Amino acid sequence: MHQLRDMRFLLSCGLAICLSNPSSCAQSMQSHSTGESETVVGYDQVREVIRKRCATCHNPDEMRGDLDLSTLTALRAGATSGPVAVAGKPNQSMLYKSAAHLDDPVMPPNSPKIPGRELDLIRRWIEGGLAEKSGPRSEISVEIPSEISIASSDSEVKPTSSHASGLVAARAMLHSTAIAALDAHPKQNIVAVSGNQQAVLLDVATGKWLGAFDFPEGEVTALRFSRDGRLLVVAGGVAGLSGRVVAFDVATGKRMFQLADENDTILSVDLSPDGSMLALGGPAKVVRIFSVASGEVLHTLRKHTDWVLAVRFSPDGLLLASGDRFGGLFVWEPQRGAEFHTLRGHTGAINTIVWDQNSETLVSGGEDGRIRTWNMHHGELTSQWAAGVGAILSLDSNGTLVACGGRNKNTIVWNGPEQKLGEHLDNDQIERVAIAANGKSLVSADATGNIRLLDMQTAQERLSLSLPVDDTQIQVVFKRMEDARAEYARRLYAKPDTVPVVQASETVPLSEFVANSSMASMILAMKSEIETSRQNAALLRYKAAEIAESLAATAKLMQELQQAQSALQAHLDKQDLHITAAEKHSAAFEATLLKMLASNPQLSTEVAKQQQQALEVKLARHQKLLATSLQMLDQLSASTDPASVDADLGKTRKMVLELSNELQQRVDDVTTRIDSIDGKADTEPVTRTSLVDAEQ
Amino acid sequence: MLKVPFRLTSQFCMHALCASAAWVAQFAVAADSVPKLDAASARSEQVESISIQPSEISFKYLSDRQKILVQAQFADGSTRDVTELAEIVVQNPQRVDFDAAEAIPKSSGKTIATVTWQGLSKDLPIAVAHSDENERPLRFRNDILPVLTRAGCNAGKCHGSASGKDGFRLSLYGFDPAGDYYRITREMSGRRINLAKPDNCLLINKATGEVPHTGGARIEVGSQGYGKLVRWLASGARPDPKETSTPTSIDVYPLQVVMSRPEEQQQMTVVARYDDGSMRDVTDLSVFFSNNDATATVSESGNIVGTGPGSAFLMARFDQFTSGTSIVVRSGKNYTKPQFEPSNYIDELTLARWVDLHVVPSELCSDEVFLRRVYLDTIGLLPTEDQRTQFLNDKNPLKREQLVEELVSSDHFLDMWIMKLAELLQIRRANGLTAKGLSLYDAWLREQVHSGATVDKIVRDLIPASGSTFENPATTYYQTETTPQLLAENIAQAFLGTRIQCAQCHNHPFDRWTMDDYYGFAAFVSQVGYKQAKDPREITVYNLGEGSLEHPVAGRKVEPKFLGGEYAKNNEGEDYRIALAQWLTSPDNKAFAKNLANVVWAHYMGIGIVEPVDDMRVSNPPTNPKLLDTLGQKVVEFEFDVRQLARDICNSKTYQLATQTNADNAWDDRNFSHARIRRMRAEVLLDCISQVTSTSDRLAGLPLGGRAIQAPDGASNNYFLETFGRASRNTPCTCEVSTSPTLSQALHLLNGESTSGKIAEGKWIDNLAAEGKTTSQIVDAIYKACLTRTPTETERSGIEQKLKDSKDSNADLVDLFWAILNSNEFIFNH
Repeated sequence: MHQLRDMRFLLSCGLAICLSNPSSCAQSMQSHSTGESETVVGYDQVREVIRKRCATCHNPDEMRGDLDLSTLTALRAGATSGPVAVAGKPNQSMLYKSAAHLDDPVMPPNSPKIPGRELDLIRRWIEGGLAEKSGPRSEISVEIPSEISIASSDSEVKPTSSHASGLVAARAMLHSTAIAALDAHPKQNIVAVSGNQQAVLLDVATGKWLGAFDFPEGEVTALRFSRDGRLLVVAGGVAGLSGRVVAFDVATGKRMFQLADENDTILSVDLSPDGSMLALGGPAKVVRIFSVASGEVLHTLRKHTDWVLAVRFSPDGLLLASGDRFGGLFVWEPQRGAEFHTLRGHTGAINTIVWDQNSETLVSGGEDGRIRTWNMHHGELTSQWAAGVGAILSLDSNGTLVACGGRNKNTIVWNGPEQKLGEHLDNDQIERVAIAANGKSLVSADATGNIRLLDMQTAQERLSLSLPVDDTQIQVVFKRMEDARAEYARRLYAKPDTVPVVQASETVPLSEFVANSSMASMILAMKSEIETSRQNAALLRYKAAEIAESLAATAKLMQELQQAQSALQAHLDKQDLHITAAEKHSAAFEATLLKMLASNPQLSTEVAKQQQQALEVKLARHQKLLATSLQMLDQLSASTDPASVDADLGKTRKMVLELSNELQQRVDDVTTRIDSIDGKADTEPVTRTSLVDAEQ
Repeated sequence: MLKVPFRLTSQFCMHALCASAAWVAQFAVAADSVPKLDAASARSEQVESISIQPSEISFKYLSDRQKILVQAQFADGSTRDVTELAEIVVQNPQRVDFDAAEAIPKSSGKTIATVTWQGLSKDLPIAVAHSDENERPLRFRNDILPVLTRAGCNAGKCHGSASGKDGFRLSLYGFDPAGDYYRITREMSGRRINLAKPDNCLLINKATGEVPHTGGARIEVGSQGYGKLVRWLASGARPDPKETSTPTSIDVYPLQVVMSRPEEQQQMTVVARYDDGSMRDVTDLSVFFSNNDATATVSESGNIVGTGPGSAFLMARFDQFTSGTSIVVRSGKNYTKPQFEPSNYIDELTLARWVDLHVVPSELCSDEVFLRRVYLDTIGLLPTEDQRTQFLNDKNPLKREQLVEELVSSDHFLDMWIMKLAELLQIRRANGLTAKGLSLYDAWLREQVHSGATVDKIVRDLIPASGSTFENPATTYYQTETTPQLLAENIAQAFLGTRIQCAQCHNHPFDRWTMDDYYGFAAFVSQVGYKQAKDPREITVYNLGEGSLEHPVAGRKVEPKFLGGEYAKNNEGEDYRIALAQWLTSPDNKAFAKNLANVVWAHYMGIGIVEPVDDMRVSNPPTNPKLLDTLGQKVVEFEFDVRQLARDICNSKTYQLATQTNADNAWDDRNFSHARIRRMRAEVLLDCISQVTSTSDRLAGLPLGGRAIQAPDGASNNYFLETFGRASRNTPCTCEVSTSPTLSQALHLLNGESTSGKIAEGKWIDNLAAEGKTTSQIVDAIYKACLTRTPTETERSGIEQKLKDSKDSNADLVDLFWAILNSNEFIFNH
C-alpha cells in the first residue's frame, strides 16, 4: 500500500509536469510506466537548471556569497554560512527557498522566479535526498529555451566542392556579422571561419566555401586547427550562459572529442602540438588546461585579473602563453601548471599572441597598438614597434613575416620591426588575420563580416567575399517580434488593474448663490443635462471598449481552449500507445506463461518459485502501468470539462476505458494463473476499487 | 484616489481608454447617489482658464506622435489635468488626427485643433511638414541610448560606473554616445551583438534576463524598448550618420502644477527640440524622478501623484538634459488667507508662497524669544540681564528695529561674518602653511572686513592675487589647494553655491554641467605658478601665462569658459584669473549674488532657500524662487554689503515667527512658516558658556579671552569645538559645520570641564551670594543670563521647595546653574 501511495505521488508529479510541458511528457511517462527504477530526481536532471540559473555567479572562479553551485560536491558542501540543500527538506534548503522566492535573498537577483517546472525539479531533487543519479531512462532534459537554441534555417548553400564527406553546407545568415574566429590550416590552403553556429571552411586558392561543421552548442567564438591539420577545434557557446569545445576530424567531419563546460562563451582556444592538452580562456578570468584523453581539467591557472583573450601553446609544446584584457601576459609550463614568465609592458588589453617556430620568441599585440616580441630564455622584451593598425586585434606570423590587423581598419604585413611590406585598408576594423599554409595568401576578416584574400607580400586584395546571406530570414525575426509584442501586450493587459475607489465629494456641486434666479436655474439644468449626456457618452464609450476587450478575451480563450484540446488529444494518443504496448506485453507474457505451464507442469518448486517471482515482478509492472492509465483517465475526466472538446474526447475516453478494462482483465487473469502455480494468492488482484482505496 | 494603470499608457495608446474607464467607473457608482463628476471636478472653485501644453506642435515625420496635456486653472490658483475629459476637434482631419489626446500627423500642411472643457476653448496650431522620409530614422543616440538609459543600464552602480560592470562599461547616463556605440558594437566584436541574430545576442539576452544577468531582467521581451533594440540590430546596427540631428533642449510639461489636495494626478509630457528644428515627444524615452516623494511621486511613464502637502520638483531626464516642473500639493482642507501684515518685501514673498501652499504661519515670537534669537544669530552672544531689562522695558514700538540696527552695526557682527568667510576661504593650517602665514592671512581678511570691504571686493582681491604669501596674504588662497581642478571646484562651491565635482569625470547627471563646463572653468586657474620665496615659510604665487588643461575625453586643449557662460576673451599672457574675478563679482552674475543671499538667509533661518546652501542645481531648486531672486537683486543693490541684507532679514516678520507650529504649518519645514529650533554652532556655544560663567578661554592664535568665533585656524585642536562640530575648513562645504547631536557632546556637557569646571572657575554664584543677593534673586539671575527669561511658576516653586531644605544653598544653586547649562533650552537657539 505504501508503495502504491508513493507511486501515486510520483505519478501526480509526473503528470503535473506533463500538463505544463507536453514535449517532455513522453520521456517522463515512459520512465514512470516502465517502472524499472525509483523515479527519484537525480543531480543529472537538476544540473542543467542549476547551471543555467545559478552557476554563472556561484562557481569556483566567481564564488558570489562564498558559494559554489557548479558541482554536486560543492552543492552538498554548501556555503560557509551553512548547507544550501538539506536532503529531504526543501523548505529548509536555501537553494530552494531562494529560488522559490520564499526567503531572502531571492534568486536569481533582480529577476522573476525561474520557471515553475525547473523549480519543481529542484524541490523534487532535494526531497529525493540529493541523489546523484536518477534511474535509467528517466532523464528529463531541461532544454535551453528555443530562442537560445539553434535557430535552424532552411536556406542553405550547397557546398561548391566536396572537400570532405563529413561537411555540411554553409548555413546562410540573416545579416553579415563580425567574424569572431579565423584560423589557417597548417598544411592545406584552407582557413576555417566562424559562421552561423558553424565552422566554415574556405578554400583560399579559389575563394570558394567548401562546407561547414555544425556547432549546435552555440556561436563559434574561437577556432584552431591541430598542428598536424587533422583536427579542427571549435569553441564557443551561448554568450553569458555556456561554453563548449568540440574537435572535428577535418577529413570526415566526425566529432572526435568534446569537452569543457564553461558558464560563458570561450574567447580563445589552442590544442597542444602533440594533441594531448587543450587550453582555453574566456570571461572567467582563468586559463583551463584539459587532458584531451580524459576530458578532465588538468590545471586552472588563476593569475589573470580580467578576461583571458588569447591562449597559445609554443610549437614545442613546452610552454603556454596567455594574455588578458587588462594587459596581463603570462607564460606557463602547461604540464605542471606552473608560471614560467610574467611579461610586463603592454598597457592595454592583449588581443593576440603568436609564437615563432623555434618556440624562443613570443609575439604579442593588443589595444596599445604595439607589437612586442619577448625572449623566452629570460622573459624579456626584445623588440617592439607600433603596428600602424591602431589597436591590434589579430596577429599571425609565418616565422619571418608578421601580419596584423586592427581598429584602424587596415591590415599590415611587417618584415620584422619597422619594415612594412604592404598595407591594405578595409571599411571596418579588422577582427582576424590568418596566413595561409602556402605562405602566399593572407586572409583578413572585418567587423562587418567581409573576408578578404590578400597577397602576403604586398597586402593587395585578390578577392573579397562574405558568408552566404539570406535576408528573407528577417521575416522570421519580425514574426517573432510581432508575437513577442502581442504577448507583451496580452501580459500587460492581463495585469490586474487597480480598482478605482469612489470618493464622494465633500464639496457642494456648482455654486448655490445663483440658484435663486430662474435664468440661473435654467442654465444649471442645461449644464447638468449636458454633463449627463457627456457622462452617458463616456459610459457608452467605456462599454464599447469593454465589449471590445471581452471579445478579444473570448477569442484568446477560444484559442487557448483549442490548444488545450489538441494537447489533450496528444495525451490520449500517447496513452493509446502505452496501452497497446501494455497489451502486447501482457499478451506475450500470457503466451509465455501458457507455454510454460503447458510444456513443463512438473517444474520443481524451486524453479517454480523463481518463475513466480519473475512473474510477480512483471505483474507489478503491469499494475503500475494500469494505475498510470487509470490515473490518466482521471486526469482526463477532470480536464474534459469544456463543452467544446467533450464531443471528440468522449469517444476516446470510452476507448481508453474499454482498453483499461481489458487490461484489468488480463492482469486478473495473470494473477489467477500465478496463484494457480502454487495455489497461493500472495498478490491481491489490483482492481479499480482497490486503487481508489489506496489513493484514499 | 483615482488610480489608472499607468504602465500601460506609455506603451500603447490606451491611456485615454483606461483613464476614461476609471473615470466613468467612478461616475457609474457615484451616479446612483448624487449625479456629479468625480470629486476633483466638483471643486467649489470656478474654472478660470484652460491651457494646452505644448502650445503648438510641428511634425517632421509621419511616424511621430505628440501627446498634449490639457490643464485647467481654477480661481484659487489650483490646476487639474483634464486631458482625458476635454473635447478635441481638428479643423482639418486630413492633416492631423487625434487618438485620445495624442496627435497623429497625416499629411503636410497646417491646421488647428480646438480643445474644449467646461465651455472654455483653446486653439492649438499644428503644422505638419514631412519630407520624403515618413519614418523617423532609428538612430543610436536618439532612440537606442535612451532605451538603455531608461532601463538603467548606464546608471552609476551598473555599467555606467567608472570601471563598468562585469567587463562592460557604458558612459554614465549616456554622456558619450560615440563611445557607447563603439563599446557595444566594436569593442568585443562578435560578443555583445550579433547582426545575424538580432533578437538572440548577448545585449538582448542580458537585458531581457534570458541569460543570467547580475542586473536582472531590465527590458521586457516585446516591449517598445525591446522592439527598438531588435529593429536597430536587424537593420545592421549602423553608426549614426553625421547629419543625425541631436537634441538641443527638452521641455517638460506641464509648466506648473498646483494640486488642490493629495492623491490628485497629473501626467507629464517631455518634448525634445532638435538642432534641425524638429520637436519630438520623448515621454516614453525619459526617466522621471521627484526630489520629494513625501509630496509627489512620479511613475515610470511620467504620471505624478500627489502624496502629501508641500512642494516638490519633478524632473525628467532625456539625453544630456535634466529639466523639471515644480508642483505644489495643498492639504485639501479649507483655507483662508492668513491675517499677516507684511513688514517688508521678504514677508510679501514668503506670504505669497504660504498662500500657494495653503500654509498658515505661526504667531510672532515674544520679545524675550526675539531678543535671545537675534543676539545669538547676529553677534553670537546672549543678551545680558541689563540688556534684557532695557529691551523689555522699552515702550518704543520700533524697538526691535532699533535692536537689530544696534547689533548689525557692532564689531561682533563682523566677527561672525569673518568666521563665515574664513570657512568659505578654508583658512586653516595645511599644505605647509605655517603659523605666520596663517596669522597673516587671517589678519588680512579681518582688516578687509573691518575696513568696510564688501564680499565682492574681497573676492576681486583674492582670486587674481599674485606675489609672496607674506607680502600679499591673499595669495595664500592658492596654497590651501594647488590643483586647478580643486581650486575651480572650491571657487564654484564657495562663491556660486554650485558643486561641479561630478563633471570632472562625466557630465553631471542631475545638473546642466558637462565636462566641457568643468574643464573650461578649471582652465581659469590652470596657469597659477608657484615658487619658493626667501623665507622657507613663504611661497610666491604668480601667473605662469602659459599651460593649459586637456579635456580627458576629447583630448583637446581647453579654453577658459565661465561656468554657465561664455568663453573668456583673454589677451595672450594675460592672467586668466582677472577675468574670472571680474565675471564672478559682476552684478550681472546672478549666481554670485544669489549664493551670498542664500548664505546669509540660511544663517538666520537655519535652512537655505536652496538647501544644502552650496548645492544649487537644476534638480535641487529653491523652495521659493522669487524670494531668492529678490534677495539676490537686493544684494546687488546693497553693493554686496551683508549688513544691509541681515538687517532686512531680522526685521522681517518671517524671521520673527515663533517656533510653535499650528495645524496648517506643522508639515512645513522648507517654507519658513515657523522658526526652526537650531542648536548653537560650536563656536557660539563655547562663547555663550564662557559668557554666562564669566570665564575666558585660551584658543590657538588668540590672546586669552579671545572669542571662539574669532579663532583663525580651522585645523587647531580644541576638544570642545571639534566635539560640537566646528568646520575643519578642509573643504568649502557648508556641511562641515555640524549641529547634529552626538553622545560625546552630551557626556562632555554633563561631565566635562566646559560646564562644571567653568562654573567653579568663574565663581559667579559665589560672587552673587557675596553681593548679598537672595537665593531667589540668584535663581532669577541664572535664568535671565542663560535663557533670557524668568523661571515659570512651576519651576520657581520646585526650586524653592528644594532650596528650603538645603544645607548648602550655594552648592544647590551651582547645581541648578549646571543643570540649566545642560538643558536643551540653553544650547538651542529657538
